[in-house]
Amino acid sequence: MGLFPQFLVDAVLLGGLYCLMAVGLSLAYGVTRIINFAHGEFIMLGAYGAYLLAAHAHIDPLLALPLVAVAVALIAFLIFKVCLERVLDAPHTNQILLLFAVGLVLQNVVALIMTGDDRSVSTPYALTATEIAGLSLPHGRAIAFLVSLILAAALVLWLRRTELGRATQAVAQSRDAATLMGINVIRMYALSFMISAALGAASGCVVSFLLTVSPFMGFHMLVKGFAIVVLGGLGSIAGTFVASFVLAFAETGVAYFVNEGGGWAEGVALAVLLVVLIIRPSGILGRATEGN
Amino acid sequence: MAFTTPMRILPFAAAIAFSAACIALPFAATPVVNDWIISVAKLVVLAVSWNIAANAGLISLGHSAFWGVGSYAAVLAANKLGMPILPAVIAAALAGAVLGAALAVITGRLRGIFFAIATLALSEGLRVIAVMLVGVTGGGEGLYLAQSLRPDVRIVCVVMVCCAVGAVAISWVLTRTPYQYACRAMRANESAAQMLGVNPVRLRVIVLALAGALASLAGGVNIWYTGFLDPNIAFDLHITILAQIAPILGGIHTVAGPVVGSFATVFLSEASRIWLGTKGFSLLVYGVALIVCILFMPHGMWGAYRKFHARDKQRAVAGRAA
Amino acid sequence: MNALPLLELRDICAGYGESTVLERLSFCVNRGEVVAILGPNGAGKTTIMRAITGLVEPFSGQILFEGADLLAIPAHRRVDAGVCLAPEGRQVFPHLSVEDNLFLGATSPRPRRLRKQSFEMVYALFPRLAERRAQSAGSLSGGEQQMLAIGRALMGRPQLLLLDEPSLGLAPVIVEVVFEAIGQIATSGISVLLVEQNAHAAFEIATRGYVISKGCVAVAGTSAELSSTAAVHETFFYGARDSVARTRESAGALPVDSEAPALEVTNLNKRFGGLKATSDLSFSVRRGQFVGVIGPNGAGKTTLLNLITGYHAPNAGEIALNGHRIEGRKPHEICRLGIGRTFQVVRPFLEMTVAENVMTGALFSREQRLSMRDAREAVQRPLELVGLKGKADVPAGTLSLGERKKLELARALATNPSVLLLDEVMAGSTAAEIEELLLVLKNVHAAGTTILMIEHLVHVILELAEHVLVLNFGEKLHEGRPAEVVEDPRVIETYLGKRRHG
Repeated sequence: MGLFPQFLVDAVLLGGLYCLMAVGLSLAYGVTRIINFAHGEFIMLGAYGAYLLAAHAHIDPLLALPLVAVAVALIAFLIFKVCLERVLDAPHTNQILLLFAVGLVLQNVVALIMTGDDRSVSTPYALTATEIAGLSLPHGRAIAFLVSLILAAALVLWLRRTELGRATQAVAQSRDAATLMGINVIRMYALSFMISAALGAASGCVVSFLLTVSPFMGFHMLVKGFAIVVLGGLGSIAGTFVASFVLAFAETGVAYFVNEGGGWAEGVALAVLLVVLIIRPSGILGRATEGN
Repeated sequence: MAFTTPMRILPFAAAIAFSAACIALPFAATPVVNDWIISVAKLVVLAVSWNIAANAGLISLGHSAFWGVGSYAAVLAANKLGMPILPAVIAAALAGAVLGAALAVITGRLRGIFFAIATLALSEGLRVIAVMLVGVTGGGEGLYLAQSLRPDVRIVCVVMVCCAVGAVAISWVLTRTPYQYACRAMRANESAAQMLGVNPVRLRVIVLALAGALASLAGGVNIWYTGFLDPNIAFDLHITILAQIAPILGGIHTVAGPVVGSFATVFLSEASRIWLGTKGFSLLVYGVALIVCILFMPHGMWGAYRKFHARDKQRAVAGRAA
Repeated sequence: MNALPLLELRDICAGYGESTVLERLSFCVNRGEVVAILGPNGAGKTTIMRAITGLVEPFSGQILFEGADLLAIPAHRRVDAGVCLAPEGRQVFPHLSVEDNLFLGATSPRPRRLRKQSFEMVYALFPRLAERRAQSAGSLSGGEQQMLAIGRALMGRPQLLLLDEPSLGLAPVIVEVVFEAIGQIATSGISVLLVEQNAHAAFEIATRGYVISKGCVAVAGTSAELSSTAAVHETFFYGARDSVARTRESAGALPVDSEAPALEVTNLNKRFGGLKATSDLSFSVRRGQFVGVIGPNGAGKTTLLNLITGYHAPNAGEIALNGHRIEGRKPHEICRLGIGRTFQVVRPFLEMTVAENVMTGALFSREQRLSMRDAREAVQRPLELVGLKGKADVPAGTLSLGERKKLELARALATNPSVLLLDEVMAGSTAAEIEELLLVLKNVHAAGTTILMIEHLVHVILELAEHVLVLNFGEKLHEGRPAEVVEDPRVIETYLGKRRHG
């Protein structure tokens, strides 16, 4: 089929981006067992950070990325200290509603400061593309893909090779045993939450030159993030990577090969989410068990 | 001893009088006041609906799904079938009940957080479907309710108030039936409840059908007030947010809580609009209110009042005994 | 030489929520000693370990380590202070490698400096771990995981090594290897506090021991003193001698019943992943019979109840209630058919009152739904029976553990069961409460209810049961009359371990 190779290119590029978007959510849940309903807002904050630095200081989003990620991580730390720490042992419903409310506050603070108008960041590479063997490789997306994979790989390396990373894994696998090792579990929770926010913000920076930036963009990202994390199995980073590509392929496939696919593609994430929840809530590689 | 009978009738009499006053009010009031009345009334129905689900341990993050389905059902019943307001809103309620039952069956025994995510997916999914099914819903362009069928605005107000009163009455009656025990048991510990004969899936179907019917009813009546509907209005995230804020603010798991919370929420919204200028502030205020409530006042305003009242009573008893 | 004990517990009271597990517990461990703590399930052995390491905060009392207050140090700093635990059930980090697990054992500042040497030490002690250093901990065998758990604790360079049931679930050969290693550790100068059910293995290496019962020290002495059969036997089967005298008359006095048994289990099989929880289990319970089920931890007793009541579906086999097949049915259906049950970890509806809890039991469990008024009536009798009538309007959340057990029983009774399944309903109750419950169960049984009771307190079994089933590793080890089962050497062995010297 004539469109197939281009479909592959687009799907793969999208998959990389989704990896970065969702891996933060997966990490936060794996360690703290709390599903961060405000994750979409961290992505949104990252996008706005990139926009502001681009518009006022003329800094390219990729260069601004480290700065923005750190800033959002600090905001996340604040949220953890003020709100989350109190509800760590509260019923799940309280945690869900609290984070939902935090997201709401973040959205509307940004909306008030920046107004609800859509923004975008234009970079020279966002508009160009390379032609290879008849396939179009948009530079913006390709760079987004590369950055995403680099950051995702960096996370995995950090988790596997550094002491803190392994301690983080330990907390995710057995909270009590980790305490017995001398690991300060609450501190690890805070750290994981901050890293998850930083990764979300990074994906926001990357997205800022691909999509329009608005205060309410986070919600759609959140739903996709859920679809990926539930599909890949809550708590499994490897599963998140696999599921990111599965979702990207499904969405791109619908956009390409289904009548009026462009509109329906938005619903793919939701359909995936519902189907997984109904058939196999533990996902592809899930190891998180649902408590009683 | 002679005081107990009048004391027990007093709350009922007050409630009935208040309800009667609310129903009569729209005819005497100005359009601005009617707008407030409708805002409060539709929120009461939504809040009661959310609370009914929450009572059984089912936290819904997609209540806008029911609202939207109810709105579309009412509009289509009117435009395509020529129904006047009352049959149209009943059709809306039925659509909501069916959706609720279907949701319960599909999600089976999915635990709290997964159920919440599923409701989120449902509301977003319905929005996408509404956009794509242009033939039925008018797609992104939206639908207008047939002008010829629209009654006087004050009648719509009265209908909404009656729905609100009805919703509260239903939730009160439910607390008097075995159903209440089944819900509380399921919320507290579903596996233990099963061993006592409670059928979890069947209970979820009943709960969600009822909650869905009420939320759809609210949406269905509301469309007769506003007259225009498109997918973003129908499945607006704000509806979901409002549906949670009112019961949590007022006092979750109680009968009076959703009512108190609805008044408080609309008050907050109007106050922030009047004093702070833009409508956008109200959502921010809601978010902050929700955070404050969850962290410091988990039983809401009604719960705080009852605790205070109970402490007063204790002191009075102790005082008399001393 | 310092005469101060290395570790000293003084009048420790500790527990979870409303229930107290340790009651004014006091003991000490001196430098260079290996001290064993023995006792039946529910006695509080693991709670002691959790209190020392800080996972549980005691209600009152003192813990002194090297003379200083240990309770003032937060849990995650106690490794640095010199206390390390290899917890019950190993709790290795399953998706990390052996090496990573050991690495993390030396996270605290003091052990971190010695990490390299510690690795060498642990690999020398456990060559098997050295071979498997890159393997993920979850894929190790039980014995290897136990070695890893101990090695991980050693990485923390403790002065006091705590071991919680190292022999749990391990084959005797492996137990020997592990205990030999523990002996070597002790010789190298590290003091050891060992919690064990396998008394014989423990006494091979321990200098002193304490027997814990009902939250405090029942017997103390050197291992020579304690390893006489009588003392240890008593702890597990305490009161057994007296109870034998009070035991029911032989069950042969009951007429042979020709109708279908109340409960019949045939070739029941259940696996969870690779683990066989129940293995070709078959037995039957006659109508009106009182059957006790005993067996060590992990024997599959609670799984059996879960299979009967429909929380799990068996992989193979049949379960019949009064002749009708019920396996695979849902719990609420099985409740309607007449089975009531209590749970090992109580599940009260905390925000409801006691009466409301029991009422929930009455409302939905009959074929015909009861009216509210009838349900309120139906609540009276169970409440009276268990002695909670006075607390009818109190929220269940304020009850003590013993009272919650009574509530759970009352709630199950309100469902009007023909067969009652009890899962360790006595555990955590005071002596007085146990006496009350004994009477209640006798009355319930006298009224004609068939009862299947899982229990650890052997004297209770002896008093109540007509017939006893012994389970181990998911299989039926033995069944017979209570007095005879309790004296059977195979049964004693499953609890106490094999005697190796005469």
